[in-house]
Amino acid sequence: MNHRDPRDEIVDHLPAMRAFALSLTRNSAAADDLVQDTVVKAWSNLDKFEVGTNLRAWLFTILRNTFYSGRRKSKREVSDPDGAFAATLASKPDHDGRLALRDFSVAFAKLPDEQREALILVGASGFSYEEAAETCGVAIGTIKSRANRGRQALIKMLHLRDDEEMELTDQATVAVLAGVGLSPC
Amino acid sequence: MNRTTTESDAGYENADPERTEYVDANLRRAYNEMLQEEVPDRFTDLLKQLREQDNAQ
Repeated sequence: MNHRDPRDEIVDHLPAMRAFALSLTRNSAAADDLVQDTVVKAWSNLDKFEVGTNLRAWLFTILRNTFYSGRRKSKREVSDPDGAFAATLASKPDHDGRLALRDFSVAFAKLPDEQREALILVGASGFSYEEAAETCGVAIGTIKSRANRGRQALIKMLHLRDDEEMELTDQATVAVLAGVGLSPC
Repeated sequence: MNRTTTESDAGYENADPERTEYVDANLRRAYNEMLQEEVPDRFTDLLKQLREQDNAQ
């Protein structure tokens, strides 16, 4: 199998890097700065990348290391957890009865860093638990338990409790089923 | 991270698969939404610049 020059391939991973960066920083300006730093670092270390292995996982590893080391240095919470991150995702209205993306994003942004990253890696971007564990430099069991705790916290925040019918907790679904529009609140 | 993580993890493993899948489906949807965003020019410019630096060496 021929492998492309990773220099040519980085561009393909930019959208995923931006999504991962946004889920870590929860702030779009900070996310893009983080991606920029990651690209520069990755480029100068490309000789250490093993061609044929997972470039995305390698880039994600650099990205999260950059994120955490930047945080340690600045000690400053980049913030607005409910604002920028949710706003980025809230552009499209939900007419189809699925959980409102904004509600979901706001809840997601409240999770601790390590649960957000575990969920983005295994829940959203299709990393195996093993790849996610390697990317984060922790044991597989740790990733599993972070992802599960994150899911559990989301279920709780979104009121998807066992004693309720799931569909009925979703206002949009209720509205669709009832044939009425949701009034803005 | 200092707290014991085992107390409820076993329970989480057994969390209602339907709700877990519901959370993951929303997660994928949010993530896909982010993926659709157009990549700003600053990144393509940056890659071009890095490549030019390499070529100049």
